[in-house]
Amino acid sequence: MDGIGKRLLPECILIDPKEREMELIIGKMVEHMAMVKTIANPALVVHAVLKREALCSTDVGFGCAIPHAHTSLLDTTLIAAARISPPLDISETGKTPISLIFLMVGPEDQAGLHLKLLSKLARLLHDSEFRDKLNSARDAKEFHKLVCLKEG
Amino acid sequence: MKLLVFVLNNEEYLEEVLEAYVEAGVTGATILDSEGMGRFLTYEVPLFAGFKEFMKGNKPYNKTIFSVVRDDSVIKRVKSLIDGIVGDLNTPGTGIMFSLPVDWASGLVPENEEV
Repeated sequence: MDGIGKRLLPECILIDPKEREMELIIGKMVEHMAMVKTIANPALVVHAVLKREALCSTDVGFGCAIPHAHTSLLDTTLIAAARISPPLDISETGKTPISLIFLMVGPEDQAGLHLKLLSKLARLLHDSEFRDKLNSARDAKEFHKLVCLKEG
Repeated sequence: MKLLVFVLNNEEYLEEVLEAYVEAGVTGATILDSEGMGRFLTYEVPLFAGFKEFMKGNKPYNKTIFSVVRDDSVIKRVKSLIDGIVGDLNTPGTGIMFSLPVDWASGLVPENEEV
């Protein structure tokens, strides 16, 4: 199984994007995915992610969110990331404002893989030292390197 | 001596399953209310809520039956009877049965006193 590092391309890592709304940030992330991978209809991918977001929040705490969706529009699982500074105070009451967003989208028939990657990502993000490093990354390349190193 | 563990997914079969246990020679068991990992993750952990559709058809809760069996042949008889009640355990969502060797136990009711 290709892990997170191989599916998260440096081109799909946004460092402090100017967008300040979750919907817009997700849209931007999908836009970057579509630049490096063929996505027939990026708008529908965004729609699928927002539809899942509407079900309940993917804010996992510690300032991290992992929006995701499985859709028939894709034939492989892709990951994008965004480091947000200053953090977005859009989370549920009592939760830390969001500074790290990992977006994961994949095909409907690979739910098992999707679930494994999602669980792994959530586990890695429980490490406060790792989060601190990501939040201090100078650029996308360093961010990507940190993810690959952490994943091992 | 073995510990026989059976996770019964469809609680409706519990009565029949326990009758089968007794018929096969299991004279004592402990029944626990239990819950599958998939159900817990999709319904209790918001991050996995999007996977609820993959849980369709699965029972939300199940029963786990523990029993210490002194005679290994009893386990074969239990398995045969259980297959006839709940169906082939290899069918997803039916249940899981396994046994473990027990090298020591204390507190077991003597067989001639068990019900």
